[in-house]
Amino acid sequence: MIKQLSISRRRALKTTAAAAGALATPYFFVKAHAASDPKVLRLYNFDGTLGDFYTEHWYNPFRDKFDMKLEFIRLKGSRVPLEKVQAQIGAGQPETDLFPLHPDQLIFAKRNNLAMEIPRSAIPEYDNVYDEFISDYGPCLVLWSYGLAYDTEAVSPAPTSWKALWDPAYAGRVALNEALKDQTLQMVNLAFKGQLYPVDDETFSHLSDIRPNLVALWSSGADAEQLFRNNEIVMTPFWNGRVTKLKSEGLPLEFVVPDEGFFVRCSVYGIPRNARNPEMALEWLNFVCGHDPQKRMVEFGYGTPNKLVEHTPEQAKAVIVADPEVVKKAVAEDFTHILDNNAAWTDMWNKWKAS
Amino acid sequence: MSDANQKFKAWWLLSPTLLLYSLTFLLPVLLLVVMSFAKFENSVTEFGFYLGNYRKVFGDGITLLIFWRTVKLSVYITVACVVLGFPVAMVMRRAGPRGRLWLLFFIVSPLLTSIIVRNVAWVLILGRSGIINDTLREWGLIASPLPLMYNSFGVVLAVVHVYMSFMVLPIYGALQAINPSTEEAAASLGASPLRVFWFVTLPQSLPGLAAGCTLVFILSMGVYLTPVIMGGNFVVTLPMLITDVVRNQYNWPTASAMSLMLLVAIGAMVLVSSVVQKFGGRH
Repeated sequence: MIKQLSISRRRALKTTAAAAGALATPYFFVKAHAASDPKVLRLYNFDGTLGDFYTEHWYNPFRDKFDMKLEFIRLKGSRVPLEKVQAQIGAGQPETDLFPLHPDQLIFAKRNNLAMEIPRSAIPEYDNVYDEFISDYGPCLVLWSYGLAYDTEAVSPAPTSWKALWDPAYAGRVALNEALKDQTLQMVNLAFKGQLYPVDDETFSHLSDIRPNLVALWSSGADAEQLFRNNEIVMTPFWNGRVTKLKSEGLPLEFVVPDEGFFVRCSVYGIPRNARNPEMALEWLNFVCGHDPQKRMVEFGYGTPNKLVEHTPEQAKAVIVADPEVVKKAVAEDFTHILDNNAAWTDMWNKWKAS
Repeated sequence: MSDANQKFKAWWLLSPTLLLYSLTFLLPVLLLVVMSFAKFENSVTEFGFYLGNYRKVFGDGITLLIFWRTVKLSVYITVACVVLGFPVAMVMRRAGPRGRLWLLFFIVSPLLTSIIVRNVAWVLILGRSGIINDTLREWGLIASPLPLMYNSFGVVLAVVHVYMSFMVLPIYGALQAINPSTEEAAASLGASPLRVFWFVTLPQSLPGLAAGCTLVFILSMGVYLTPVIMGGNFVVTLPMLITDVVRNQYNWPTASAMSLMLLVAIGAMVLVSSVVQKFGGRH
């Protein structure tokens, strides 16, 4: 005879809670253990092909060399969500052990004590890195060249000036960069005033003039790529790396350095304060400053801070910043000025958009 | 069981939900309030009682404008959902079980698709070289592409597509609760179908309509990604502005003040809706 099992509601609840706790404990233990594991390095990775390149040539070889486990957080675009990271650092738990910082983000990080200072002696490979690419917070590892991208089949003759964006022949076929509106505003000034600052009413009156040509304001490099792929636009200010990628897909695109000058920005790789694994983060920085990872970077189409890496003529053309004559056209941006005026510029920008 | 005992039991049952909402909603809102009075200067946040963020929000001449445009956009979306969704709900009410299931699937299906995929699909349909423009050009009806996206039209269309279900389902629920004999009685007394709808069906479905409008309006006030993709960044909503202030200026205090403004506006909408639902219920 089977005895009927009876169980009170209270007992059932207690048993369920105890079982859930017992089952969850190993999970939290494993998570906590992973968080402090010296063999785990957490990193941000860029989206698109640059992220894929990093994985193949910067991350996986390091993982294999040091028998590490790498955990990635994929970024949308190239900017780390510093506002979030700031809160995490404040709470003592940044989600990664390294972060790439755009120049304005580096200033913000300095002001808010978000990044660890890295002495030169901590990275032996600094001996092979140009001085101008070494900061107190880490090496400048990613060189972004920002010029004019255009469709070679639709834009003729090839543009030589930023002012080509204003050409009425391209009405409704041009896009501008909303994500880095500071760069857009400086570009307008460069085209019409021959200098980057001040950003003022005159700047915005030129922006109003370009309005009939604008189809969209893109908010990430991936968005701009899609605009080219969908044949929505024929010209936009863009990064050389993205153009190289689209060309490899068969799109008839070209990147040009306008006569008025172009922009070169460099992202510093730093270590967030309170990072869980700063030792391995330093090891990684030393590794990627080395010859092989940097040589791969040049082959991929980006500039390098490593003195020992040589360029073939084709690589120099793709990399943009390898040609000293071209580098002379790079304009010197004032990132402190940009950061401190960002709010005012954004208000003016939004008023312009709403007008 | 005594009243006190019953009340205690009710609170005990509610306690997990209350705890969850306290941690995930009330506490963050409280932090938002505190942050909105902090000072952001030289890229550094200092806590205190500083009214500058609210002065900026109400006095910079652009935040309020964007707020009103967000409200306007939400009204357009809500009205479009009502106009398109009410007939669907009525058809669902009269359809057989199989037809109702198909309609339900048709209405809910956008929610089952990733937001990125959905918006990219719209680009393929509405874009310069999209299906519509290409077809119209092939037929010789247009010489140059119609501006179907990167403007308010594109945003409203894409948002209505996905939020329609939040309008249809509450209305359908309200319609199902109507006793058909009231409509039949009106018709038998000589009322035309339009009069039956206007004086019998619509008033009785008002609670569902109000609930649908509230849901769609609130969701539209917070919409972010669709305007970014479909509006080409020319259609600016308050959530887009808040994101920009946080992401590019790292200015949490001003963003907090803006967020509270949005929250108060949504709270006001919920209040209005509950009054309408009460009125509708009594009717």
